[in-house]
Amino acid sequence: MTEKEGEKGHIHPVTGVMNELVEIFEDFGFDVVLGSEVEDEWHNFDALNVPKDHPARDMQDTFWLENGKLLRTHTSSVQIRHMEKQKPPFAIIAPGKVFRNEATDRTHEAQFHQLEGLAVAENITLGNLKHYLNSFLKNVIGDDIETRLRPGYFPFVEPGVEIDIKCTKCGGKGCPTCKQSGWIEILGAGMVHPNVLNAVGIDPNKYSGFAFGAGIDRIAMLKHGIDDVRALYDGDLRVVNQF
Amino acid sequence: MKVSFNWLKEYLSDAGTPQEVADILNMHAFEVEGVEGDIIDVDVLPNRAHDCLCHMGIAKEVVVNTGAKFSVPEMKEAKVDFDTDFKVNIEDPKCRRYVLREIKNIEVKESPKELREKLESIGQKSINNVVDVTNFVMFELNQPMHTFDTSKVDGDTINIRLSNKGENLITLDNNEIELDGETLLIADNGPLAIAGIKGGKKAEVDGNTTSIILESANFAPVNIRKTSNKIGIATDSSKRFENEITPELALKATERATELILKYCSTGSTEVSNLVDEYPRPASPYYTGVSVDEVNKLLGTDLSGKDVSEIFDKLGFEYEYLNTKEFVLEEIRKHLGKPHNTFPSLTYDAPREFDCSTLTAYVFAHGGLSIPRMSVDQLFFGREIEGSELEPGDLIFSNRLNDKNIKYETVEFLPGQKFPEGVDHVGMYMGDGKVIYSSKFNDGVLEEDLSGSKAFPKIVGYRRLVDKDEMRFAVKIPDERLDLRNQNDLIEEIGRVYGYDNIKDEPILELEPDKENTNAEYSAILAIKSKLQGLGFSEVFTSSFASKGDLKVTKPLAENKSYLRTSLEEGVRSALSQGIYNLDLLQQDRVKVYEIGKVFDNGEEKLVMGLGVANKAIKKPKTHELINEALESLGMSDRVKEGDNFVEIDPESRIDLPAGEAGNLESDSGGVEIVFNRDAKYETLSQYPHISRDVAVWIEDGKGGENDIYEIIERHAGDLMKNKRLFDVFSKDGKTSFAVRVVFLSNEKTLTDSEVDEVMDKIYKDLSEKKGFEIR
Repeated sequence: MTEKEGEKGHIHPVTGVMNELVEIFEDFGFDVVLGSEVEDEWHNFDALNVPKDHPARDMQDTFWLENGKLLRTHTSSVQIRHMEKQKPPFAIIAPGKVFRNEATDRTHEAQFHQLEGLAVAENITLGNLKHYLNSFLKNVIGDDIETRLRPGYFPFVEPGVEIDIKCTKCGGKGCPTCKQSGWIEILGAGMVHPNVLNAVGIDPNKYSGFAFGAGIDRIAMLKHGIDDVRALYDGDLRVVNQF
Repeated sequence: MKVSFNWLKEYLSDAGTPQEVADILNMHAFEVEGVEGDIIDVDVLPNRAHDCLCHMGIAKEVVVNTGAKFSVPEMKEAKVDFDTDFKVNIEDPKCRRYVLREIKNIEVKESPKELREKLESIGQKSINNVVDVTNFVMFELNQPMHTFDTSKVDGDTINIRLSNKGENLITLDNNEIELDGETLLIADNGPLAIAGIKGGKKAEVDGNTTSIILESANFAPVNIRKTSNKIGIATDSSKRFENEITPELALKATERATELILKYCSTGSTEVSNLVDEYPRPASPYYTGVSVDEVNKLLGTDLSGKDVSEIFDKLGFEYEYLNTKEFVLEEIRKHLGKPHNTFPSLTYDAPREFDCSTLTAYVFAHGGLSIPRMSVDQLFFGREIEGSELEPGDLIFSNRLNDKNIKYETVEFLPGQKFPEGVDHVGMYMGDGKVIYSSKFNDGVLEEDLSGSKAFPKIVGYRRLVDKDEMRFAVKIPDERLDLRNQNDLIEEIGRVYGYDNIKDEPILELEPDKENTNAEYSAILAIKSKLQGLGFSEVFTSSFASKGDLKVTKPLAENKSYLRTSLEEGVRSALSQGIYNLDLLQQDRVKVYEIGKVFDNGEEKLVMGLGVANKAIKKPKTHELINEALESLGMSDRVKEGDNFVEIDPESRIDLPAGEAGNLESDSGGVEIVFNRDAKYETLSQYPHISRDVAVWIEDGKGGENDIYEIIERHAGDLMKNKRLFDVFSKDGKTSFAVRVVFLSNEKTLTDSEVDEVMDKIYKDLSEKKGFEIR
């Protein structure tokens, strides 16, 4: 009988990729922090310098719950809770499931996974951010990748940047994967906004920090060539058993 | 936002090509979504919607980051032909400014080609020459405008007021909107328009219009956003107002629109009125600043003061590089005698009037250092010094006793920090025992001896905000740049113009791996996954939403996803049945799956594990035995009974997982390893059903084996075969029976039985013709 062969257990690609990313940051010296999926408005928005009735809230379509709470739209909420309790210096990563209330298609799911990171200490610079995120991307995608930083806007960082990698499919010539631009957006990041530090009781005159966020599903899709994010949340072993 | 390169070129010389402009914007300012011919699709986010949802704003960014030169015609003030009888009456402060101009004897007609083409190139519909002019000005300068047909307006007053409940308005596109008591309106004796969002039918400009009222106004952002959400109307105008634009734009836009109406709508006898400009609380210019040291400390650069100056020059900022301490000592004296007001606004009231802490905040901001607005916050913001160390420019804080406004904790700076002594007053030490402050008791800003001052009966602290020789850039922020409010904002400007690619990578020296801090919950979950993998269970993720539950979603994506799941059972069972359906594709005899995820039971969020088993091809071990085997391996005492094929467990309560300490699972895992193929290349799923066929063959010993069967199958099945598997082998009387299951699947179509049968017939034929082979 060949039964045993058929009983090989498989790890879901999101778990597999998440763990790969976590291990890289653990090697850098970052600690893992987890948190809850149902959050309050303060920890998901207000403390992150996204005030009520501000257009920046539209950047993240939110699932509101009838009890007045919400499903976290990012794991930044975990970082806010960490900062409220801990004194700097610290360097943490927060992997986990997040939710966005938007129409689903091949690249959008109502639920997906993020890995966010945060380092706060005296004298943290944008150069530090570049160092860790470049090393991270080399580790996860490959040593020969080319990256670039360009301006981005997220209310909780200032300066805010987006990090692109040169398209791994076409090598920068332009193809459907990179929407003909030659580059693929892979991380959002920046220096923690002084308003965020202030809101959690960390003196922005003394401390600075960098923060970043990466879509785990997005990285999994890019690395493994998965063409439809929805296939990851359908309980489908035809997907899982490929890993 | 769609940006027309040809339009931009009107303000620029040496602009290059659309792609070059797109690349520059992308690397130094905004994400560019794409370039199509002459049109650049720029993603302007809320931080720059104040100034860059328009061609002039984008042109400025191009100038900052290239050698292109700006060539903008000066704003011309129109020659006034008559005085209008119209008055503007702002009843509600949510209207910050209202500029009105009447223009008579115009001709409304189709727009000339040059105007029409510009608007159409960026996806706007041309309406008529008057409406097109106001739209053009919005896409040029960022100021939304509106026009009314003068003959349709009753009376001679334009009121900006809140609606009355029961009023309604018919919009330009003929929708009737019922108004509540909170909608800001433009009205004559009834509603003419919903302020900043949508015009009404009543005073619509049409082909018969000969005389218009031009509106260039400014509305508070939050109200626009709320109203727009409430009535479900979002327009290019509401988008700009909800993001906030400066009231300073209104006049410039009016003059520009007048100029264009005279150009495109004139009858030759067109007459222009004076301006009615209601601007109850004009904003003062905003100042903030930064030091070179702060720039380098945050960016990790090695820029000089000259480098920073050059970048500010490119940005067109007005600034001074100054000694902040010397500056504030000089500046504060300029305000001696200014009147006192309680809680004046730094933006709108200073420097006409002050209270104690607005005075200090004002002079420091102008000296390049933004400090908090309230005295208690300034106390915590500054560096503590002793009274004996006091130098000119330091701040002195006092508790004036008996005052109603004494603060015992911080409000805006590091909110909630306690200060039991209480503080309600601040002044600046000027040297020689003198202090300058503003006080309600003296009705204004004054200088007096500190000792004996009634304003300093009990000194509660001395603070230093800048050192003696600290040099800072004090920047007067351009009116439209409402995004620039503190030093980090300026550092971002410097960083992006300097170019982030020019910043060097640098590790943090003190950051080292510390395995001790590994998160116990994370490791324990991974350990469970590793164990289950070893037992042949595969991990699935299913939807966090369900058709029933305790926590309801206010706007669900679908009716059957209205609640948060209370259990993993539905998801895991669905994975089991899908797995059974796909069993042949998976080449398995049974399905063993699990999910570990959050459920929301009774409103409480908890992490649970759901395990499920479905048997099909083989019945033993039974499903409950396989589940119990897994539970035992995981060190969990729970068991399921015969017939069960699912269990849900709260792992935290079963495996002893105290926060911060290693649970028993983690301790024996010793560096948990999951098996995961990091190089796996995913094969896209076919959306068509598969078909399975079995073929069984007797082969005489020594005449062949399964590989001969495979070879024939592959020859005939070709691309239609998804996989094959030997599922039964036994020997008897000098021959062996091989049973192979072949699974057919196409990525392009639904296979029919007859297609597959045709292939199978060829396989049977070849097999039966082979020597020593016999089809069973």
